[in-house]
Amino acid sequence: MVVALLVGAVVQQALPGLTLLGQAKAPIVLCVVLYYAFHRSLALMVLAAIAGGVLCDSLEALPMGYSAAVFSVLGIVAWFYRDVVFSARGVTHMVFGLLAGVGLTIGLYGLLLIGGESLREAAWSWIAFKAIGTALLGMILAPIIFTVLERLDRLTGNIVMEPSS
Amino acid sequence: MRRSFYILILAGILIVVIINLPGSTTARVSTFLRDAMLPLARPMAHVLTLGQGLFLDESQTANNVQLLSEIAQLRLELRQAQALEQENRALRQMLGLSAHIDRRLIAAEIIVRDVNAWWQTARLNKGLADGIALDMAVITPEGLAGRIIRISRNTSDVLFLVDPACRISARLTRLDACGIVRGQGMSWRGQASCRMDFISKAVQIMPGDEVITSGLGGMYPPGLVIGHVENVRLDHSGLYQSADIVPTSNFRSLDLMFVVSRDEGPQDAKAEAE
Repeated sequence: MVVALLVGAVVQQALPGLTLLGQAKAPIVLCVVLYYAFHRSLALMVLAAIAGGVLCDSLEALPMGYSAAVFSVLGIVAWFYRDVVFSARGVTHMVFGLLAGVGLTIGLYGLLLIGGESLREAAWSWIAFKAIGTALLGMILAPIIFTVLERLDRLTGNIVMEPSS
Repeated sequence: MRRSFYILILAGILIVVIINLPGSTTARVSTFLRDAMLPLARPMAHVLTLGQGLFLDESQTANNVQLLSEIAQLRLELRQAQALEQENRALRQMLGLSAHIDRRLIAAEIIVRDVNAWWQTARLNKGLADGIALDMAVITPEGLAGRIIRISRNTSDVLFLVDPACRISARLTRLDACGIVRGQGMSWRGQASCRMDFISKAVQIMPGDEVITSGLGGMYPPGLVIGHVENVRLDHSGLYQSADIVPTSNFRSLDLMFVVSRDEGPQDAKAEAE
């Protein structure tokens, strides 16, 4: 989990935003949190959300705790719904990545407005573009990150391989 | 179910505590993590710039950096000389009031563009250990780029002048009229723009007029080129003019920036004699 969060946060920070889509950034750490929401216990997911959020806030110069709050909420929602969806299917991961991307943008924007940060008087169109961009990136990245982390978990023995019949 | 409830309560309390931590504590945590991640961030930045850092000749890169640094230094000195000449003309009846200010340039590479998705910022590979301080102006060979808003031991964050959170006291060179330049962000096509507000209605602004820093407020040295006027209009109150400014610095293709230190040289000899 530590390696996944560290590498994810550094890559997320290093990747430039999509100018055409409101400078949307790839929500890599959020996808890591969603993976833990789908495949691990609530406690581990919450830990990943808070640790990943603190790391993101430090690297991306956001007020401390904002990303942790949003990641936790989105992770908890995903954790609650994991038993009523096909949680092993790629399509499910894409849908959750898309919805989480929208939630991340709106959640962070809301917190930044409430916190009184020196945020631009953002046009709704800019926020909408950003939400769409983050959603698209989440939709694309979620299945990839899920697959990578699953492989990593198998490699490290965190997932027990089912015996072949 | 009860266990989950307690975990959620604990998580909520932890998040509220983190959000309400004192600024000094969060700043310490942030700077520690940023400096700790720097060894990972630097090679990542080189890889993401299409491997330029992996394949370019080191000596050629160093030579380019030195040449760009010299160009930026010379342009800055030229601008300051022009500003001093104007000031000298205006103050020719007074003696010994103009101090010669030496400005040292600290070259720094951009290691992270778009530090976050909400402000127009970039991260430099120099920080407190290299003599950089908060609110120092940052320039490119073309002109003003922004100012330092966040700093750690080995990194610093630049807020670009095109960000709406950045406001600069500015002057139109030809007309000597003052105003406030405020960033307008990047358009969806990636075009950076600013707007200069509170310009007197009495002046005749023309497209192409140069806008420079006025030096008022002390944050930005005077005479740094911000950009050129694109078009002019009356603001919504009808009391002032507003001008759309095209910045001279190209923010999307920057690799190298220069932080202007605040070192000051000795006063004029006449002032000392007085």
